[in-house]
Amino acid sequence: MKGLPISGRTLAVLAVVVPLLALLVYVALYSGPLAPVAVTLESVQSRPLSPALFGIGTVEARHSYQIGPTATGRLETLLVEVGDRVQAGQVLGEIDPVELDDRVSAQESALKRNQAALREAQARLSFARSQAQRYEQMWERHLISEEAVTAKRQELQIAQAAHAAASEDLARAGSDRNAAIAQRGNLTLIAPVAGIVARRNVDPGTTVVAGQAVVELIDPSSLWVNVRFDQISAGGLAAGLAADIELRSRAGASLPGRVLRIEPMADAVTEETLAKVVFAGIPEPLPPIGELAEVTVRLPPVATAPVLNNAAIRRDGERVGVWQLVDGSPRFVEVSFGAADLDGQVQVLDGLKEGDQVIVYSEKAISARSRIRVVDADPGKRPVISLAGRDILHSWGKFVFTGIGLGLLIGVTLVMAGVYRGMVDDGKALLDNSGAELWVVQQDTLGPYAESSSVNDDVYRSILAMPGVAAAANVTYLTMQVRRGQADVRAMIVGIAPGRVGATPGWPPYLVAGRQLTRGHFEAVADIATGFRLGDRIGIRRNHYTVVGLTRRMVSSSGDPMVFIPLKDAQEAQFLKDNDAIWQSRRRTEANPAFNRPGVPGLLQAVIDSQAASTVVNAILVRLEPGHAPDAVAESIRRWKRLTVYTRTQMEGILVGKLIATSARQIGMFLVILAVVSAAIVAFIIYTLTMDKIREIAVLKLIGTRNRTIAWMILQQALALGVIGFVVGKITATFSAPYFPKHVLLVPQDSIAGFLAVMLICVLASLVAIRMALRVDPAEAIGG
Amino acid sequence: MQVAPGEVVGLIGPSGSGKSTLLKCLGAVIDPTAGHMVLGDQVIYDNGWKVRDLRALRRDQIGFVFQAPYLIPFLDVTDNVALLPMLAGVPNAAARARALELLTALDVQHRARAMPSQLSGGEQQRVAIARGLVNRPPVILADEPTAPLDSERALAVMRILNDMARQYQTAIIVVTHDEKIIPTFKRIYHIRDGVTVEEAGEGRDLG
Repeated sequence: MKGLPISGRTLAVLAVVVPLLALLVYVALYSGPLAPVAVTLESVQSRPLSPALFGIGTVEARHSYQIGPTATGRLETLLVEVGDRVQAGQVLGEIDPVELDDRVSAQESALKRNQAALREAQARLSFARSQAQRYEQMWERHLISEEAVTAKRQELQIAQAAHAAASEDLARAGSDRNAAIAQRGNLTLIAPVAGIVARRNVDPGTTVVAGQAVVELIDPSSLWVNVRFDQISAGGLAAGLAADIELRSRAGASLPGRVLRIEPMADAVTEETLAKVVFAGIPEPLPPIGELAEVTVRLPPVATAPVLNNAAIRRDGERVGVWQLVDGSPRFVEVSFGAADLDGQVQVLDGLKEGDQVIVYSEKAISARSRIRVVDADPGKRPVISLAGRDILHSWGKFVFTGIGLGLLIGVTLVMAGVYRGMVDDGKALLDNSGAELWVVQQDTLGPYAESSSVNDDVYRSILAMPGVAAAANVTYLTMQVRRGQADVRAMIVGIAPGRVGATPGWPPYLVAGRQLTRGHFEAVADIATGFRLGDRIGIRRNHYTVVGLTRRMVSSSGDPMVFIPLKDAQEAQFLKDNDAIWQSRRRTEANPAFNRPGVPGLLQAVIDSQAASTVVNAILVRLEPGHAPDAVAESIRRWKRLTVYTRTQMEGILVGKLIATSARQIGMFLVILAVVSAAIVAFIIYTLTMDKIREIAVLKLIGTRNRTIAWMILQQALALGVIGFVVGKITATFSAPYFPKHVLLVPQDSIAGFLAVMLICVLASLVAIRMALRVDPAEAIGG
Repeated sequence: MQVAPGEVVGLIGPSGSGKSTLLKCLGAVIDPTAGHMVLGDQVIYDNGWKVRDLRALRRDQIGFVFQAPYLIPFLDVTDNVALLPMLAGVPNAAARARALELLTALDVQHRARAMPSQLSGGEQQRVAIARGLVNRPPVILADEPTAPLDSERALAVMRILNDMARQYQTAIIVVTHDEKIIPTFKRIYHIRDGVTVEEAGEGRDLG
């Protein structure tokens, strides 16, 4: 076909191919790794800020009364039920005195016997005294001997001593009798105050020991909420501040209250500040003791100041600040932040002024070299694909239609390669997004991504003290089905430690919408791949979380989108059993006499509480101070903390080399199969197209066309088919990739390799057709 | 069997008599088992010997016109005709000018940019004749060129072949058993029982 003129048909082909190539170039430049990062700008605004604190707690009674006997006995009657209101002094129940009444009778008898003995002693004393007086008179008159009067004196002294002993015996018997009567009286259970019966621990017939509570009374006017606030965000908490209390059973209805006091003792294990928040009035109906309550404490407002959405806060190396757009390029500006409200607005102390524009959302992490494309809002939203180009290609006839069919197959091949790249990229993104340089995990495990790992949640403190460690934060990972409306979505729940946005490892490094977490509970930042939108409610275990921020490309190594929730919630979600299991566990514990000892009333509850609490995390994310080598710090932690530590390189090796190795091999097999199928299809198509032209080829050969000209013609067709197929495939892969459930990363190197492979396959596939064409007998053109 | 430049001869015979086989031998498509063949002063076959490049011989020295036009469907009329000189190394413009000249001579110049599928049967056959003539070969072999045509169009094709033969001094051998055109030949080779017999034709005037 050498030297052929440009015909109208050629122009028509060019008219389709050129736009396709242009589209290919556009796709290459505006999607995938070469694409600019879509960002949304926002201005620093000047306005008042209403900071607030958020905590959760349980409803408790300020005063509760455990009422029980002071002596062992069998409960004979119990006159009240749980929920009954009782008055002060009301009899609540009676303990069967068993032998106590007999003891009182015996003491009465003993008392009487002692009274008689006293009377006898008194009589003997009177006689002895009169005898002694008479003998004294007789001695004064020298009527008797001195020896006789001395004997009477001694008898008097003996009588006096006997009387004193009898008096004491009587007193002792009286005391014994009174004690028995008092003990008998204590067997009546009496309400010390007016209140409500909150608990009825035993039923009549049960033997109770001294000190064991039979019923528990609470004073309804003394209900409060024992609230826990993360210490890191509890600044400004003070007694007297107004609070809004939202009971779990009355979601959406806020009850007024105030902070009564801040507990002087914080919880050292959970790192929470405890506070008591009282209701402004007694809530009606009275909430059950132990009900979960969310408490928002309003801090003193900040006067008009520059404020910013916390989604704009990013980290660049060791600096925390924001990205600004200067002459079309991103520039990092270090910023000092102050107070923050629960809507994600943060006070700017230094570094920015009112009106300054900053990048608030971006669809991926930004660096100083990033190409930036400013969009109005929500850069995570993808443009709708126009199908016009495909329609045009479809009308191009059999060749192009075949090319499209082949292109789809090539597209699948490219996507398969992209799936592998995506898995590797997911792994790297997982590591990048964690913001960590070291991963501290359970000894001898490959955790937290490739293997389960448990580390006590207070270990991070000692790691923080290690040389070279700039930041350390607990993190939990749990892959589970979370509820989205009536459906489930598979997601990796990431529990992130409370801390400062941009400074604490584990937090999502960027958002595409909304804001970062500001409350310590029941808020979530979700990857948009979960399908959640701002304001949606995510059901995790028995709790619901409000989506306050959206991010992109935050996925697990297996491609499951992440949902970030506060660490404590995540710990609970990770280890919390279902209610049936909890009840069964409680019953087992109660049945264990070692835990349910009558003489130790609080032991059972303490054991049950310890079973429901979780104090472990999956890993500790560590960021290093500048100038410290990761390997050296890791070795130090391994040596002194006896934990396994992975550097970035090692963790990447685990993810790529172990976690996705099998998947990679599977994809490799698929690629080989697809390549073979592609080759077979191209060969078949080229063979068919050649067979359709067999008479023309015969004519060409008859009229003297060289073999190489015919072979080149077929080869050109195969290559053209490959080009069209590749262009269609590349476009198909690019536009369909975002809709795949897994992350598909189409890298230019793969596209180039894919193009060369397609060309090679087309060359090889055309050999059959060329061979067949060259064997065509030119005589066939003549017939006969 | 001998054909002079500018002469149009007929090759007729019953089906299976070997007309097409003879044509293939003459067209250097298959090798004759014996005998010799000379084109101008060039020996092509001589009892088993043959020229090395039969393909170039076909391209440069022999033109073909078939029962069906067998035009290249993805080339327009001009390029179908110009294809041969282009393959022979003639510059595109010259090849296309030569093609257009022939198309004009065959009265299909107005369809020069049309695709083969857009032409009528007669037009396609005229384009096929133009393709056979475009390299100005000394000999043209035509295999049943009028079979699909009605009498008028068949005679028109014969008129064109005769005109071309005269104009370009081309020897044309027409294989046919079309009774409509047999009377137009001045000389006929009749294959009968494996023997080629030369007969005088009517040489009817084609007007």
